[in-house]
Amino acid sequence: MTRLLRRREAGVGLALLLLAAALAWHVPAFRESGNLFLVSRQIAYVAILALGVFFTILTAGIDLSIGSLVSLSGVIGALAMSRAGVPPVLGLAAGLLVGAALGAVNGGLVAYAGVAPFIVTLGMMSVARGLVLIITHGDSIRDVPKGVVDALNGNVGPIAGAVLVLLVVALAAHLLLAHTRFGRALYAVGGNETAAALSGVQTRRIKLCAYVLSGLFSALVGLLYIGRYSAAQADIGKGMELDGIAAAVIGGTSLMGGQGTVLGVILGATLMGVIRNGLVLLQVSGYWQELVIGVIIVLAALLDIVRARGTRR
Amino acid sequence: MRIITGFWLVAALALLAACQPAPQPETKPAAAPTPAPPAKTAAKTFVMVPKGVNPYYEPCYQGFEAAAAKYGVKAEHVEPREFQAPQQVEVLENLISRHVDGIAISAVDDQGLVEVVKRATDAGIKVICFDAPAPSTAALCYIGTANEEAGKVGAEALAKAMGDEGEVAVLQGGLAAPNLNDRYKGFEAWLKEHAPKIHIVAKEDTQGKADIVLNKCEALIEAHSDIKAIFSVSAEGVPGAASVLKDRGKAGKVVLAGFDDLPDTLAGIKAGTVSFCIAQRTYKMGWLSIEKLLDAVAGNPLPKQIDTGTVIVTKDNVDTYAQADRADLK
Repeated sequence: MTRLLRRREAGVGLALLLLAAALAWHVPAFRESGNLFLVSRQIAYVAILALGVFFTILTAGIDLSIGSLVSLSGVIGALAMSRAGVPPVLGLAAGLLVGAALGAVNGGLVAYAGVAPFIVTLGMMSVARGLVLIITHGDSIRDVPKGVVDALNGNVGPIAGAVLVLLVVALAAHLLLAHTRFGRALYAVGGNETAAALSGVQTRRIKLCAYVLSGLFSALVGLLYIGRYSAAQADIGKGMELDGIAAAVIGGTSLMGGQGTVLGVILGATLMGVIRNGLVLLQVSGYWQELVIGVIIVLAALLDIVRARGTRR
Repeated sequence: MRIITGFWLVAALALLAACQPAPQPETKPAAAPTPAPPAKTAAKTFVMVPKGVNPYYEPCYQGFEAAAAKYGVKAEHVEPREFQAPQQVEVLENLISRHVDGIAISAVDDQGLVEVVKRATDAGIKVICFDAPAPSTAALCYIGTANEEAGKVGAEALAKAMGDEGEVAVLQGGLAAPNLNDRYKGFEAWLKEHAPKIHIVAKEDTQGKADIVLNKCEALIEAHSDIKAIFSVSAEGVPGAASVLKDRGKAGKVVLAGFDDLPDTLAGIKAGTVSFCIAQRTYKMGWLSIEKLLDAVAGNPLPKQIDTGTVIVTKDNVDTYAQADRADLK
């Protein structure tokens, strides 16, 4: 029990549990299966995105371009399938490739040229958004084959497809981080880069990979969004990078790098999603949602500091 | 330590939720021993969902609430966080879970709303569009400005103000917005047909942001020294352009006009820096939304589209048009 409570995720997990219990008891609409389906699907997209940026935060970096990459990879994937007439599988692959490639550009500039991650990815945020506008002139790509849209938006029984994708991706990320040399190296780079380098970790390559993964996960969200919105939308994903980063931070990921877990990130995204849903169900004005989320982010960061002090003692 | 902080998180949440005026008996702290069923009593609940937070929607809410008071229904508005489909869909989904009776949407997107509108309709919720249509969805009706027509009306008034000749630059907030594209289409077509000596020399994207309007207008004035008019098809353009013209000593010399009756635009009309604006009948959109939702709930068929029309606001009617506009809605 104590060991459970000592975990990083304990705070957010407990908060989520209590909040969900209170909502379920207080607002009957919350626990209806229809609502749970909708909320879980809302959360899945943010959680996948958050898992991507989580890799870069682990290396003490950041990726601000993820929201724009969602949009760009969706547009490229959709264009490949519709106008270029490429088979769906290849079209989807093209979307993923774009995300990974631009992620690699981010990673290369961070790891090999030594530019600050904040600056590199801020630039990429603008570049990717600009590319979307150049390619689409601001219009959505609507002529995606119907079968592909349905498949990307499909459900498996009572569970949304996006939620299943999240579970698969989360499991993969967990295995990668907890059970491979790459995972240990990622934590090591974020914890103490010099020490990691001295003990033989190829820190540059590790960082590069983190940004590639971040781009890849963004692209995955971009493709899933084609299904959700029946088109690749030009203006989608704006501001989403902050949701992703917030989810990771609320889930106990340290922006200083080296600390955080997959479970924490998912709990963070879930807490945000449940709060947003709960506020609407409670008939709280939309104006309040942002304030509440903001307070939670700051509280989570405070928690991180308190925890760090506790460990040092 | 961690448990304590966890509790803090929750306590803060509870506090924030508690801070809100409890609009429903079910949210009163003295929670009844049996959980109250969702408020499905006599009064219907109708909710307005705009594209996002923007003062443009205030008259819509006023009309919506005034009509709701008249007919004895409950009116609310819930704003998406961003002007984007995902956020609007999220709000709509949460409203479906709340089992409201009717929703009026200013659609931020068309295709992206198809699934959620169908879900709402399947759940027995009446859905209509106001201000911005979503023709691909199952929404029953669109109540708002016929934008292409409004663009023509604007072009005609502008041609008169320009003396049927000269260069005009157009400002547009978002090149992807269908309603703005329709206005531009009508504007351009009317000029081509009726005022061939007026040339559109630039069409700038202001992205709906005040600071970008300033930058673009400054550049426009530098690039086109002979410019005779600036016309904005979206609301944020006129106030920004007015301050740039004033700054450059060109206020009153360059004809400035455009869409929507923002307070700053109206002030400009009174001061003479703005020639005219095209006011959409937003109060009427809100008012009719309640009436049409009630019709839908009663099972009456709705017209596919209701054009609420526009009003040209000049120095002559700037003080009176708003009242005149609401006179028949009581």
